[in-house]
Amino acid sequence: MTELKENLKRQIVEQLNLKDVKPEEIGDDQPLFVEGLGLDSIDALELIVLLQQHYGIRLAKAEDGPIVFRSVNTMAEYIEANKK
Amino acid sequence: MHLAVTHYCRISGNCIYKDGQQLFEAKDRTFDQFSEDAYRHFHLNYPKFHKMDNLSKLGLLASDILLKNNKLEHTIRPEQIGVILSNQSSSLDTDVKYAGMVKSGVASPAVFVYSLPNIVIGEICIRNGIKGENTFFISDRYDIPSQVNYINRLFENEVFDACIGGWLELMGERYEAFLYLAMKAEKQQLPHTVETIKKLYQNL
Repeated sequence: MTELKENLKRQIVEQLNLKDVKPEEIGDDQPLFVEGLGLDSIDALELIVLLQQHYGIRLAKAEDGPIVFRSVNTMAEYIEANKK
Repeated sequence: MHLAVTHYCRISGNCIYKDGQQLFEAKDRTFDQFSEDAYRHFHLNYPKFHKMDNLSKLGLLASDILLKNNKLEHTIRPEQIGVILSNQSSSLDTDVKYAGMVKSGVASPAVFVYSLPNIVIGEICIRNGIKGENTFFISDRYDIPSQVNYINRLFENEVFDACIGGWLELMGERYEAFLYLAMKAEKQQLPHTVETIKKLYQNL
């Protein structure tokens, strides 16, 4: 799980072009949107692409997005629960 | 009251000029590297810059340098500031990148949102709190008479009191930005005419 979270942080920084953020600076439970990393709606779409591209997981229900993408912890839990 | 050109900025050949003075140069750098160098040199401090396509990066850099120390928002209502730009290649640089992504099977939404030329105007407006009239024209070359006359007509009809005008072209490593700020003025130090803009554009 720790390795998965580290990979996720690196992939988030790369995929979203967060050039002023280092992967190790992202807390496991830090909110990704608004007050946390300050991601926006386009970033949310990029995170959906990230899940498909790196983990082969399609977000089944769009309304799950805010829960799944709340933090690195919630993303990692979703990947663990849905990996093939 | 007349419309006068108060500042102008040019970015080309890895150099940045404002009001005829060279402010920055980064030789032997790609546009990606050059724009990143300029971002840090001018302390833009705007993380969204890194997510933009190259046309928007070019426009944001040029407009930031053009408006630096201008306090436009303190003197003119945001609704009375316009942005009228033009170029030759539209958003083709990003369109080609996006088409390549579609072919490879992984298309990025963050790239797709920049596949229109007027997105750069939106980025300039968001950054500077501008809410006035805006249009992006596409033409084979910088049609100065058409743009100047269009801006002057909007000014005469009181659509705006200030306007960012100019040429913003980018395709691959070939790029050129020429932006100017025209504002309502009682004395015409540099009148907003076809002759003035031709002179500023061609002399730089």
